[in-house]
Amino acid sequence: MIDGARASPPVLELDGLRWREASPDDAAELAQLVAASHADLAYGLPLSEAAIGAALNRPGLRHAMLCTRGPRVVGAAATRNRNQQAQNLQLACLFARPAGAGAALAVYVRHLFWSLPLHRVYAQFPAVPGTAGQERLLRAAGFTCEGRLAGQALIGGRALDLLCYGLLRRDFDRWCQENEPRLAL
Amino acid sequence: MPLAGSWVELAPLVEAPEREVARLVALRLLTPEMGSPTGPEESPVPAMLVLERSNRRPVGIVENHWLPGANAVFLIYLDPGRARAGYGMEASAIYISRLFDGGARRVSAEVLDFNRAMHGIFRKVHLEPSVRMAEHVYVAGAFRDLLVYSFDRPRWLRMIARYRAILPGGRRTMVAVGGSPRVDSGGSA
Repeated sequence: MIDGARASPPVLELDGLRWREASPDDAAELAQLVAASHADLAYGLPLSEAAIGAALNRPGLRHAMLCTRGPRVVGAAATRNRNQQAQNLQLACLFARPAGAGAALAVYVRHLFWSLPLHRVYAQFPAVPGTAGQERLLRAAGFTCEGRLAGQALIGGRALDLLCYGLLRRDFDRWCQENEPRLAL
Repeated sequence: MPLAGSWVELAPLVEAPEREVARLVALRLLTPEMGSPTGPEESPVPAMLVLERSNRRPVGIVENHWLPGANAVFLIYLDPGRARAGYGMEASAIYISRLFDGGARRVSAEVLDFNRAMHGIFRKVHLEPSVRMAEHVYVAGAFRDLLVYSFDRPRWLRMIARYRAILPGGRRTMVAVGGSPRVDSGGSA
């Protein structure tokens, strides 16, 4: 029997923001974003071009994509720790200016839900410089704070709190209906 | 050398009869409260067998996963057919103290939302979960919430201070010995 319901189309471009897969040729741009977004501290990403190029689309940096506005790279995102049984994965997002990047991140998250059998996306990062912007960015894309593990992360000999954010597929769909229907799955 | 409490003692897993360990592992795999099994991970503090002190019968397993930053994730499984109320609290107290002695900076426990036995242990020491990860684990046919408890050594010492008198080295005997009902489910993290 043929199901007449239409499949939702891919969305990788929205209001001038465009996402594309990252390649080793993008290592220099990514290295700048890692430094500007403090993703070396927040997500343990390498700072050097060579290390980033080597890590791309390996276990610690899957589904790596760049977000551009015209010729300019404005952000990037990647995933790690995909759990096939629990259908979840961990997100790392790199925006030099997270304020106002919520819609851009939502397009990437939508692409994850659209292309993978995913039930949940989550992000965990220590409270380092830039954390407040990171938190606002995640909230702007529909994530909710699930708690804070006091002193869990050890960076440079300092114990820092670990912040935990999460987003279920159904909550993302609700967020889309309320905020950006063009992204609804 | 075993770590002895009033009701239970912990002994190295390698000293246990293989058949008993295999039986406990098989039971544990069918216990939804335990979630998905994880592979063996290196830790400076080895997994240990929980023995009933009166007859040295194996009743459970305690173990941990060592994460970066000297974070030890604590796990306990007790055979609900053999363990009595209070065994989980005592075995947890001994083993968590051993984790801190072994170099853990923090100890965490990741507990499924329906694991009443484990939540009960932490409730007794007035510890609240720090994080609730929504529908993070798929177990027993459903996505379930995972709650994370976490504490450092000073907090742990404060938490068990009021129980110290009935724990190993304390002065009193545990009041529930012999008269307690059997636990109704696996005490597990």
